Amino acid sequence: MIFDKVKNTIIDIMGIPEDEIFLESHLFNELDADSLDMAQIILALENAYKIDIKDEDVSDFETVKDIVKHIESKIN
Amino acid sequence: MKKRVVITGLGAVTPIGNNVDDFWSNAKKGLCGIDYIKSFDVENSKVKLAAELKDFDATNFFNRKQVNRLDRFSLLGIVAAKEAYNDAGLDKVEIDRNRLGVIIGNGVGGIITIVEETIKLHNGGMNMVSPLLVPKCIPNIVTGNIAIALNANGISNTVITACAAGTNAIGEAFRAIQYGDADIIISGGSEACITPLMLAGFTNLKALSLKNDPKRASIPFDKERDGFVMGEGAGILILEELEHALKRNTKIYGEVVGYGFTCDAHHLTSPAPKGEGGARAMKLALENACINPEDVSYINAHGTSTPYNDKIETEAIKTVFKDSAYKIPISSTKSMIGHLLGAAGAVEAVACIKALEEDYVHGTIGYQVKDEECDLDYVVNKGRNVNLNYILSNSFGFGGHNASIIFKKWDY
Repeated sequence: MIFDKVKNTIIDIMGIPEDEIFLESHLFNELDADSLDMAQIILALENAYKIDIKDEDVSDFETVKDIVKHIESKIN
Repeated sequence: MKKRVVITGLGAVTPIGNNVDDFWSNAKKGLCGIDYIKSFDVENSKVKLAAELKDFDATNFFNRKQVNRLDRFSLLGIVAAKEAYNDAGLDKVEIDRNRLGVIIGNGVGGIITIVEETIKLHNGGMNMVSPLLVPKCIPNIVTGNIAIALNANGISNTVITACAAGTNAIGEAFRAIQYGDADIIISGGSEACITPLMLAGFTNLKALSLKNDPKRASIPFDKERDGFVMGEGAGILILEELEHALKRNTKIYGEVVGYGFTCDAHHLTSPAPKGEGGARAMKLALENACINPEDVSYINAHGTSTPYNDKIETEAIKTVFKDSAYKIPISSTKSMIGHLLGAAGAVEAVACIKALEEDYVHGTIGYQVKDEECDLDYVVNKGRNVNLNYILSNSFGFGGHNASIIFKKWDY
């Protein structure tokens, strides 16, 4: 569920085809995200889940899974 | 010694054509690019007309992520810049990227983005504002985007002088190459601000035509003119140092030979009463080109279709050109494409260069009623074959900015 939301956010912002985004996808090496992509993705997810994601946590994110797990920990 | 500067490439996205060939062939036909506004509802607007682009689809040029990141004024600027760059053959040669510059003018930057994000702020609060707001809307970002798209690592600058910006940008590029700061500069202007906010602002300022007939709304120098019509688009010229262009044996369209610019220091929006600032800009450009007024064979007027501009520009031309003012053909591109604001001078420069190339000046379309205060030769309605050598183009902007530039037929 959270994965689908994160995936759709990435699709919406970065225009990446759905079948190229996996839980293990590396945000920077594989999906080619840059600082502007990350700022948009994180803000969209913060608004969607009404959570606050700290900058120091964002700087630890490397894969899609890292984002999903972080959101899970925030909403549970 | 100052270096000579030639034009080696052209690009344009305009309300009568999304590339130079379409723009120029339609300009020669006297096509009117003004129509009822389609991009938003104008039911409650006093002004219902504008010169919007026709069939311009950004996704033909950019992927989704790029489109998300670019305000429309950047999109248009990049498209025109790429056309000009390829036209100059720069996509096929090795050049020193550190000697390739970009100087672009615009009026209001990414205002469409500012409006969208303001609405999100108002409706949803600060967390709803996109991280892309700032990098999409800052007026210099069109310059940065063109530099990124075309790997231009040399000098870069953005000129903000309202409706004079397109001409000022080309003039500043001319100076920079003259003084050896770059071999090649991608210069011109881009503007995209046909949005309810700007339409309302210009309407309430009483700057726009209130006419409902698209063919009688932007009617420069006509007695019944009542304001300008907003337009959008971009014009780009590749300016190149002469020896650099000769060495790579590329096509030379013409030469930039004179540039003058002044400020009225008079009023926020109205020109000085006798067009003194505009006259001084024209005079400075002539002096800079080392030519006499009678050497000029065509003037591309600012010609906005506002009651004031056209009367005062006419007076300024008479001040500078004296008797020869009556013999010089003058036309206004804005009669066809409306007022492209910070891109106007740049698209008009493209029209000037094509005119030089073909010895043909386009007409001032929609003209019907003679104004005794505007009594020069405005090439009304139909274009004309004219032997051209020197061409002068004027652009004047809010803030009292006046810029004039002189192009010359290429002749070694």
